[in-house]
Amino acid sequence: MSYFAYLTGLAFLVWIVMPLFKKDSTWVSLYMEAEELADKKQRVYGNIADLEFDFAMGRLSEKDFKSVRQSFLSEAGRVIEKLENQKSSKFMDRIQSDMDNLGKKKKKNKKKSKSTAAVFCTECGTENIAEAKFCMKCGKGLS
Amino acid sequence: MADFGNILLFFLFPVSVFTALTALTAGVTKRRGLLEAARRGAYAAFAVTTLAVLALEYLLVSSDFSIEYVASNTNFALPLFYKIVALWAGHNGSLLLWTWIVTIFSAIVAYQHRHKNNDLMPYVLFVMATTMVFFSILSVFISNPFQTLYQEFGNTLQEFTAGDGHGLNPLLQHPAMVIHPPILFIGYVGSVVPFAFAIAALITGKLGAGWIHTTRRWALTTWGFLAVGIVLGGKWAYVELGWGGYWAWDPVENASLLPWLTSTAYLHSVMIQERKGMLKIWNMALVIATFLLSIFGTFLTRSGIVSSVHAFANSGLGPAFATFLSMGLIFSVALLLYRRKDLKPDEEMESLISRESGFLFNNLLFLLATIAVLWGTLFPVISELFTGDQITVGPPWFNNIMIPIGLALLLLTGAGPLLAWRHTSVETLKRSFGWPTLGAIVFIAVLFASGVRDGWALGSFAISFFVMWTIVVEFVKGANIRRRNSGENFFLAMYMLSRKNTRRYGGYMIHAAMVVMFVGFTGNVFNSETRAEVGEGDSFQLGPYTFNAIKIIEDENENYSSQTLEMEMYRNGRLIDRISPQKRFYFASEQPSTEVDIYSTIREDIYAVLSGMSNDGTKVIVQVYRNPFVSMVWIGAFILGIGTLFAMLPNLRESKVGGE
Repeated sequence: MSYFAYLTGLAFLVWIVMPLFKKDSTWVSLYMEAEELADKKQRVYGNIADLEFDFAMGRLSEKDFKSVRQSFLSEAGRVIEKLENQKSSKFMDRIQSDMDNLGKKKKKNKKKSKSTAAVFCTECGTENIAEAKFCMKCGKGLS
Repeated sequence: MADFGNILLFFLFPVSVFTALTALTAGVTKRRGLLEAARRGAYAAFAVTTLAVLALEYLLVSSDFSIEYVASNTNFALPLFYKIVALWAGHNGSLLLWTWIVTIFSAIVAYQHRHKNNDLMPYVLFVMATTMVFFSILSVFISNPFQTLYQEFGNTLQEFTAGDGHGLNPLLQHPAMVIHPPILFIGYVGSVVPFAFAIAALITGKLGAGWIHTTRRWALTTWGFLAVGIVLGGKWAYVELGWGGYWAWDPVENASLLPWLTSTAYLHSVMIQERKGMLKIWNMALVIATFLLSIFGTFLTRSGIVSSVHAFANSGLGPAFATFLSMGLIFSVALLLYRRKDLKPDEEMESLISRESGFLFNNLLFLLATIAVLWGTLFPVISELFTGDQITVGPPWFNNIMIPIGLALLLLTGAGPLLAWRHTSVETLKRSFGWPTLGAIVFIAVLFASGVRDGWALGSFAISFFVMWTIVVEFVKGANIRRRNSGENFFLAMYMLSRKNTRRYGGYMIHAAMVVMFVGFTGNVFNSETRAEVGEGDSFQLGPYTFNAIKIIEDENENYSSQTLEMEMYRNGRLIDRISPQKRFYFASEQPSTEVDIYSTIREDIYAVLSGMSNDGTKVIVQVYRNPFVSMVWIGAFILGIGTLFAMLPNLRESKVGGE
């Protein structure tokens, strides 16, 4: 019985060590500022929903409701604007780097044909070009 | 089979060390292979521990008395069911259960996040694996459940197989006791998940709402299990210990209450972070405190530093726990200090009369409660340090502090949800609070007129009434608004409304559950009891009840001998029920136990205990308690469980509501 137990235990040890000997790659961290902005957007939207609920339940006066709502809306506007700016600038960066990479590849290995398979974002489902590291819609890292 | 279990349990140690190290390295290098290895480590830890648990179960069920744990916690005559649950009846087995649950949760978390949260996961797995390392050290090297039984022969210790086991502690032979420890343990251990994510967020600097969203369900589950586990413990004490109550501020009870208090505070304060981006450090601190208090609770139960009804004897685990706790504390506080600048609030508080200030008061009160309970629980240790004597603070001390705090929290339960975020004007305040307050005042007057004079009871009932009113209004008003917009009938509207924001309405259900439980707690004010020496044919009185002793029955089976007093219970001359308290003596463990008999209605419990024989041996001594509203506590806990489940349902999405 103990022989069998040792064998089982060792089998598990081998199994967990195995990935260390496979061909390895690294992942890229998510872009933090984008995450923060997405958080903020979520928060403002949640706030607006709560505010409307509170008003419907008669917990605040119409005057308060209108002024607070206005301030939330403009905050939401600011956040979305920032998000858009960031996305487009990131997109530009990536186009630039993709172009660079493409150029290098062409120089190095002319025969190797470029894969045209698209990569779908696991977060929002957007179709991205195969070389994309980030989703062009939501900014999530693509593996 | 003992070897099999022991060897596999031993493998948990290298596996968890390996997992912790690869996870940490994965975090630093961001290499996928390392992360995959750490993930497999979590699965393997679960697998080997599960096999070890199964091996121990096999030993328990097959009554292998060459194993010390089996011999001291079971015997041949013990029913199969109790043999199975003897896994957590003793000290070493319950540590193994603890360890097992940690590995289960780690494996679940590793699996849930196998394709996401790559940045956080290495550190999450690192924290969980480190916890596994600690518990594997305890289970393998200090309190091994597979230890063989030894006996002294002359000067040498020799392996020995006992003829029969000691049997299961009779106090533990009760259904509530069977589910209470695993449920409470799930609550304790579950706190490691939010903790691991919080630490991962602190290490990586990804301090946004991500870790909070990811762990929301875990935090809620943990909380619900803790709450239900605590109440089940109370139910067990009530039914099994035979002193007429369910809560005595015993150190081990307090130990389970502490992480519950901090996690309740967290569930509320996290909403301020979600809406206002405030209290980030505080929320981190609460998550950390909940985990450390859970470990502390286990430590308190297992180390015997504070004497308690059900604390296990000093087992030499103290230093190990103290080391783990202090390392956890130092590490977490250092990380918090390191990140303090990144945890600054995004917004400031705007008004004192607002939802967020309600939450702040709530947190302040929970903090006070935590400190009070911690202080009272540790007072014997602290006093021993300074005076050399263990001075215990009793239930009156706790009640004096906790009743006002509890009532203030209950009041906030009703008042908080009526406040709007950011700012509530006095005008709307009057509108929201006017009717419920008036209703509560009228309710007090009615109670006073019907003879209730106790100030605390009047206060508690009035607040309960107020809170219940506000909760009902929330549902009704919300449903009416929805009905106007959607044309659904009232009940469908109420259902849809709740399903669209399960967190809010699940929360209200839990609030309602707390009200019901508080009514149960308040019943304690009206408790009465009597003690009588009776022979066959004697009778005695308690309030409107008359008890006639019919006969005293002596009996014996292979597990225990028993003495039962059969009584008829009359109320105002009408026969209501037969009530038969029993006293047992268990042969294997040579321990007596009292089997109380309870006649329970919503209104009150009649609780009879057979205390023993009179001095001359001709009569038996019976103690009868009349406890109003006790069942409300159990009903409340049931509603609480339902509310928690409801809050975990995903929100129903609709294609379109209103004209937004």
